[in-house]
Parts: sequence; structure tokens; C-alpha cells
Amino acid sequence: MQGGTYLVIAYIIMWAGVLAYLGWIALRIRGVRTDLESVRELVREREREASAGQGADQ
Amino acid sequence: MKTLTSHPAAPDEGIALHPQRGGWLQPIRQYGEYVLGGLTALGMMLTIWAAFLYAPTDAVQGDVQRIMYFHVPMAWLAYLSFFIVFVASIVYLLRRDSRWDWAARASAEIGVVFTTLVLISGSIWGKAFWGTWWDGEPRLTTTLVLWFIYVAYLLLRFYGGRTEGSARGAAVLGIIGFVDVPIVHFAVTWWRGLHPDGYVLQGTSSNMPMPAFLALMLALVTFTLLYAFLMLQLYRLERYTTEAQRLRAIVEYGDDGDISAS
Amino acid sequence: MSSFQTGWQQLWSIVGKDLRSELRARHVWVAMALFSALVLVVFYFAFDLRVENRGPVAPGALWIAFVFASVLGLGRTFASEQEHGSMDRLLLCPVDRQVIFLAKLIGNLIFLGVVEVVAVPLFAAIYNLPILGGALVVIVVLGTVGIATMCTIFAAVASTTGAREIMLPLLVFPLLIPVVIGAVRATQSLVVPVVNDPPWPGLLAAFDIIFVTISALVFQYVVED
Repeated sequence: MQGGTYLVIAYIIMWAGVLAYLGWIALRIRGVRTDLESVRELVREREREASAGQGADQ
Repeated sequence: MKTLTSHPAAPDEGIALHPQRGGWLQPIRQYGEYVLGGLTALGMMLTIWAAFLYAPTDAVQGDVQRIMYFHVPMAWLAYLSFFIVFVASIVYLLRRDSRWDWAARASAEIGVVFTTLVLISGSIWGKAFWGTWWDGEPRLTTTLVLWFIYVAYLLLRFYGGRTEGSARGAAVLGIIGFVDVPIVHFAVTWWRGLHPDGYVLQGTSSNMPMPAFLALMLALVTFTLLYAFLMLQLYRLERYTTEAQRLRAIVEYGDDGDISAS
Repeated sequence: MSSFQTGWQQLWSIVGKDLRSELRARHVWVAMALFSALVLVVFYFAFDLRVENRGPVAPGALWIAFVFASVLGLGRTFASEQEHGSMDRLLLCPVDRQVIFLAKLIGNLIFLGVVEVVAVPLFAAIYNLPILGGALVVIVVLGTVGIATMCTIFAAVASTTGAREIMLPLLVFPLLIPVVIGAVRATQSLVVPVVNDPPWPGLLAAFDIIFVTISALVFQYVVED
């Protein structure tokens, strides 16, 4: 039936859209998590360097 | 390096914006998201079952009417998210708490995604029922204008970057844009005089059989849960992005400070 | 002296300052008027209008010309302030933000009015429509207030980004759709009277009141720093 074809097309597009969006969100969250982790590592490094530098000065 | 030590980079979540961590809210914070996600997934499966097997075939439209069990809730979700943008924008302008700005930005993005899906599914339904992809049906036309308004909102945020001035400008658009929606709908409805298209969607809902009504209600509840779940995820994304940017700024600024100090 | 009188004087001194700087240096209104005339001519060729379809189609060209010219010219509403840093000085003055907004709006209305004085007779002439008259003036004024309001507030919003020129039309066009529909329909009804049409001039006035009120209320949040 003609109507059924349109129903299937609409259904597939809607679900592909929702799932693609969910996937995209997951990718972005993962990306920003690794970014955050690396910048935190950088912060810790700086802190260690700073305290070591202070220790050397003293 | 004083700024660094005042914002300790904790190993786990480590964002010092939720000082009330712990207490009776702790289990909700920890497991609420999984419960919400699980409920949403369960609701989606039930909605699919209800839309295809439980709800009867529509007497007038045939099987195409089953698009409505996803089209209508998505439209509801889109309008809900723009309403949340509106509310969050007002609260942001009054309180200047950037958490409200994150909520507005997250909600606008969800709204645009679902408005896109609503427009696509709506015009497929139109093709099947009216024989044309696009008819001047007032609700769909209003939704198209809405899509343009909030895509412009996202572009404004994209070009403006994460500055306070850009957030305030976007909040103003979030307010004026939402106030504009009923005006657009009104103008578009009257644009062709009293066009007899408005009845089509109402015709499906006014004398709807009970199972179809229940299926639609289930779909509405499920998509509201989906909205809440997506908001949680996007809000977290905003939080992490802001935190990463802040730490990076501290590292770079602190670096300069170190050089000048030594 | 009451605060109302003070605000009134401040309003007109800002308007006068903007008009003087416009006349002395910028001459944007010349470009706007030329541009709207050009849009009218391009539409004249694009649509190959004949007697029977001229009435329904031509008003669209007129309002497209106004909207395009506004977006082109009014995007620079706050540009000179930002370039010379005089926005900060203006904001430091003990002037109500609403007064600043209204002054900028009135200035833009005057620019657009000058453009329309050039464009409307040209429109009536090249499209050969005998519609000049009091009713057209009312419709043009009502439509222009809506367009100028949106362009003024979003000129301020768009200048928070680095891409002001492209952002202003993207922000303003969708929001202006009700005003464009109302103005075009009202102008059409002057050419070809329509029975059972909603009272578009009244609706336009209602849209204008809503837009001016809400823009004046939120303007302070855009400019403050």
C-alpha cells in the first residue's frame, strides 16, 4: 500500500535522525572528556613544576 | 599560581559548581541518569509497539496516520525545548548565572534537531495524504519559521563564541524569538484567509479511538523523558567544555604569570 | 524638571547627534535609497508583470526592497559607536537605556522614511499602480516601524559577534515574517480590494506595539557591559 511506504520512509528517517543525534552527542562528550583530562594533566604538571621551582628557590 | 590552587583539579568529576554534592540527593545524582535513560529506552520500545500494533489503523488516513505517533511528540518536544530556551534566557538575564545559559544553549540545539525531524516527517505525511510535499498548512509553516529562528540562534552562538556578551545577545533572541512564535502562527494562519487545512490534524485527534489516544499519550510521555535525558547529556557537555576552557585559560595565564615572576 | 522631560530632551539630543553625523559623514541613506530602487527594478525584470498579475505581485517587491535596504543600512546602527568607543561614553551618561533604544529607533525610522520617500513614488511609477495616498502612507509607516524595531535591536545583538553583516539578515528575516505578510497583504488590498480579509493595518499596529515594547525592555541587556 502506498501509505505504508511513506510510513516506513518517515519512520526510518526519524529514527536514523534520533540515533545519529544520540551518537553525535556521545562523540562530543567523549571528545570533551579527553580534552578536559588532558588539560587537567597539564594543570597538575604545572602545579608540580611550580612547587618544584619554589622548592629550588627556597 | 594562586588561581590554580583555589580551583583544585579533582581527579573525578572535579567541577566545583556543585558544592552540595552528597546528602540525600546523592543517589539521584549517581543513578538518576541511568534510570532516566532506561525508562526512555523502555518507553520508546513500548511506543513503537503501541504505534504499530496496539493503535488501530485510521479509518480516513490508513497506515500513514501512524506517522503521527512520532511526529506529534517530536513537535511537542521541539516546542517544549524552545519554551525552555525562553525561560532559561529570562532567568539568565536576571541572574547572570551561566548555568542557565548552558541550559538555553543545550535546549536550543535539541529543539533545532527535533524541529528538523518534525518538518521532514510532516512533509512526508503531507505527500502521502495531500499529494504534495509542502502545503501552506499553518502549523507546519510556523514550524519552518521557527526552525529558521533557532538555527540563527545556534549560528549566533557559534559566531559569538563563549563570551558573556554573546550569551546576552543570544538570550535576547531566545526571548524575542519565542514571543514571535504565536505572532508568526497568527499571521501565517490569516495569510491565506480562512484556509480549510487546519482541520486535517484536528480531525485525527478530536474523535480519536481510545487505543490511539493512549498510544499518543504514551509517545508524548516518552519523548518528554527523551528530552530530559538529552538535556542532561548536553548540559554536561556544556559544563565540561566551559571547565576545559577555564582550566586552559588558567594554564596559559598562569604560565605567563610564572615567567614574569621568575 | 520632571524625569520625563529630561528623557525627552536626551532622546532628541541623541537623535540629533546621529542625524548630524549621518549627514556629515556617512551618507548611508543614499546607498539605501539607491539599493531599494535597484531591487524594485530587478524585480520588475524578474517577474515580467502584466496588467492582470501586477496587483497581487508588485507589493511584494516593494516590501522586499524595504526589508533588504533596512538590513543593509541599519546594521551599522551601533557601528560608529563601537568603532569610536563612544558607546561606552553614551552608556556612562545618566541616560535611561530605553531612551537610547528609542533614540536609535527614531533615527533609523527617519533614515528609512527618507528612503521610502524616494522608493514609493518610483514603485508607483514603474509598476504603474495608482496607489499613492493616505492609506498607503499609514501602511508604509506601520510596516516600517516593525522593520526598524527588529533591525535596531538585532543590530545590537549581531554586533556581539564578529560576523555582523551575515548574522543580521539571518536573525531579522524570520522574525519579520509576520510584519512582511501583514504589510504585503495590506498593500495588495489597496490595489485589488479583497473581501473577508482580516484587518491587516490593525494587526500590523499590534505587531509593532509588541515588538517595540519587548525590544525596549530587553535592549538594556544587550548593550550593558
